[in-house]
Amino acid sequence: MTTPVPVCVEAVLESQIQEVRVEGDGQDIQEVYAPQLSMSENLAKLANKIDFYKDECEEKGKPTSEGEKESEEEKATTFQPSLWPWDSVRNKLKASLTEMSVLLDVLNIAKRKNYMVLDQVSQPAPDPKTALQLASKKQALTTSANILMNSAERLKKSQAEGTSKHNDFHIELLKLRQNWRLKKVGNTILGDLSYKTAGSRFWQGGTFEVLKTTTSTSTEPEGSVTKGGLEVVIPNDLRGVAYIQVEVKSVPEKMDLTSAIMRLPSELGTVHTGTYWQQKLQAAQNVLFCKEIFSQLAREAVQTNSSVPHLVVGNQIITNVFPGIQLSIILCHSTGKEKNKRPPPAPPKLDHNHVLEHSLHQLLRELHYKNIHYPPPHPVTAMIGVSKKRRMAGPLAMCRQDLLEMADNESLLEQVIKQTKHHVLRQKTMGVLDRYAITLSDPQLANHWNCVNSSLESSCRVLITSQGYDLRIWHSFMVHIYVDKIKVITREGRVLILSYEEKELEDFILWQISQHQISVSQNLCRLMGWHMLNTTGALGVSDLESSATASALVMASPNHNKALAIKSGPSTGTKVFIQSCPKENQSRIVTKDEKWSFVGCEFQEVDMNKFEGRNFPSKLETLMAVLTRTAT
Amino acid sequence: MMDPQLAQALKAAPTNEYLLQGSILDSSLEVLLCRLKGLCDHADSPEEKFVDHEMVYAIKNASIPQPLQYSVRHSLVQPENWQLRYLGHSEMGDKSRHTLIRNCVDVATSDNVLQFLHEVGFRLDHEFVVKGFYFHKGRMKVTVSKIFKMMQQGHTTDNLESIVPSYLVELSVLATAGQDAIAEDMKNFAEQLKPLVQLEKIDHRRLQATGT
Repeated sequence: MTTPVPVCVEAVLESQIQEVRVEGDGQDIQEVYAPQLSMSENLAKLANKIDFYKDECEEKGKPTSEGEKESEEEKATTFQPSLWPWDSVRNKLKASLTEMSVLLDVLNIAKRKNYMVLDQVSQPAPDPKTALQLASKKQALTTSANILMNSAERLKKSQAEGTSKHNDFHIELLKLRQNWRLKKVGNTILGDLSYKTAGSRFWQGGTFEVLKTTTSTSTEPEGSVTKGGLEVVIPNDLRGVAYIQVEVKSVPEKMDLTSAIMRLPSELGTVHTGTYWQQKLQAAQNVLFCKEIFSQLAREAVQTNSSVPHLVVGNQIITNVFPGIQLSIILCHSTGKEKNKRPPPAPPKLDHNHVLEHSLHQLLRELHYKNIHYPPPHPVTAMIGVSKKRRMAGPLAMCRQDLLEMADNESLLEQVIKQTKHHVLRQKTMGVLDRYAITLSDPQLANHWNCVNSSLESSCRVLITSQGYDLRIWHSFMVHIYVDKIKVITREGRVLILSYEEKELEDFILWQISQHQISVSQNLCRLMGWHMLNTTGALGVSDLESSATASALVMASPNHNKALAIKSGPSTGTKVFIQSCPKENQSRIVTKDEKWSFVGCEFQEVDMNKFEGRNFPSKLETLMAVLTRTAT
Repeated sequence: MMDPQLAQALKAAPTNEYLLQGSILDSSLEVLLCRLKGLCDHADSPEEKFVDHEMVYAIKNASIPQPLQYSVRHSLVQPENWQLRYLGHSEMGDKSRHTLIRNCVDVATSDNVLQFLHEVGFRLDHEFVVKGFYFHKGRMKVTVSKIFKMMQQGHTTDNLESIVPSYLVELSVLATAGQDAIAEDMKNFAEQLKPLVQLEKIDHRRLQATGT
């Protein structure tokens, strides 16, 4: 008999390769091994491999059909089983005895620790961090305690205050219901602050929740508005304050639109948490409205194919109205949260356009109105939402062109751009006219703006007068300003169309002034009994004017021995020439009549600056008076 | 052969009328109008009135016992608006369907449509004047109207006699085929008018059967 050799039964001490890393150019190959399994892990792994179901099937299946057959066959070889009636009973008893002994063995093994130790198969749980658990438990307890305490306090308060608080809430709710749409869903009261019922089709809803306030009023800051027992909860994206800001800026022509910086004014109003619900709801509604305007404009800016590209950057829409003039529409929305982080600097002076902002609001309201106000159908069986003109399109046999025109719907953005163009043009025209009115003293300009105008059309009458002579002699023209052109109508009824360029209007004004000087001279001539010899509105001789043409007038004194020529040009100014008659000239003349004495005489320029007088007509009057007197 | 564009346009045209009807007594008119004003879209403007004159023309066909009928309507408020309307067979459907559905083709015409119908062979069957109020909510059209009998043919303004002391209330939507979601909306709207007026789908054939 040999001495017993202990055989250690355990897994081969080999680590499994988990991963093979190839580094570099395939030279360096590294094998990453999986960590060794512990005994229990190994057992668990092996246990996983056992198909318990299979064993069960074999054990259970055999006694019923196959097992019996096998045993019968066995018995048939040893002794005749069919001859013994208790055979099946014996078999069953034998099987149960085997089971019992196996069970006993298992129990023995389990009970007496010298054979086998039963260990938990599963991996040991990570050791609990007791400190953390304790802390979290403590926190949970304190929060729940706080909740309980608060509710108890609330209950106490509501009991103490009795019914007064309760009524307060209901009265407030009644007031709220008179102004806002409310409905009850389950236990909550929901309201709607959107413009849907007014015809809006904006995707964003404006649902708010109505709550009963139960917080103590003592914590509120002093001076806050006394609010009732009602609180409204507004969705996050509608909180704060928003507005649409429209700016019309002149930018250098070469500037790239994309380089325009996006900026948000730092100072925006905030809604305090303590404000009355009415103001809160109104602010939220305004936020919603501004958002709708902006999203509508942004959609149109992207969709429309215009020659001028519209740019939508973040919360800003930029477009060019005229070369060098940029329109930017900005949606400003502050939720009021940023304010807490840093104190805002002093509000910068924003150069924005109130009128256009207002008209944007107006345009969207109009759109809303159109959405729900259909023209009434007549007869009543006719389709709704169709205008009378459209209904009559069939019977009147309208052509495709007419129908297309009818379908043409001007977008919000287009309308705003038009208004902006008109606005810019009006400002420019005003600037030019005012500048001339201020700088010119001879003659003078007076602008009379019509108080009746529209957002796309305005007009102005410009009077040109000379001081002291303005009762009888004046020159005027009308200026009509449209979207991108200016129409001027002169006194004679001549109509000129000018573009948005300032220079064109300036040239026109200068030309009108030169015309005015001639008409003043004509008038003086008539008044003082001089004879007008020749007048022309477009002088073909002399220096060329930078724009338009000069006009001229030649007149003779009452007794025909002196003649004056006046030339007035837009750029060269007014010049007066006198025809002087040299003495020797008289001898050359064939006819003795005095009126022929001027023929062939030269004109000499008169220095009008040497004359006394406030303006050109008074100087001319002096000159004419002198000439009339010397002649007699 | 029909122009494909026209065929497409006709396919897109709304030809199905979803209809609910009810009636109220004259005395409760004010209350219903008030409710409708609150529910419908143009709450801020005064209610829209209408006066229409309807003439129903029929032509007999030897093969079909039922005469073919066309109704010509023209507004007495805007007299230049004429309309020719064909109403198809109305489908009651089963309980799951909330409204009556009938085929309906409306054509705007000029005023000489009467002459045209005469020349084609139609004869005037009956005529009446409808006066009432019109409301709308979205695509839904609500009319509250009273039907007047014309004592003298062709006189639409005088010699009118009301037939019954009640108003006919109709809720209708014109839509393309297969838009059954509308029926649901209409049912909900009818629910909101419930105590004031009971709007239901009314089988006209049964009415005709009891009438004869």
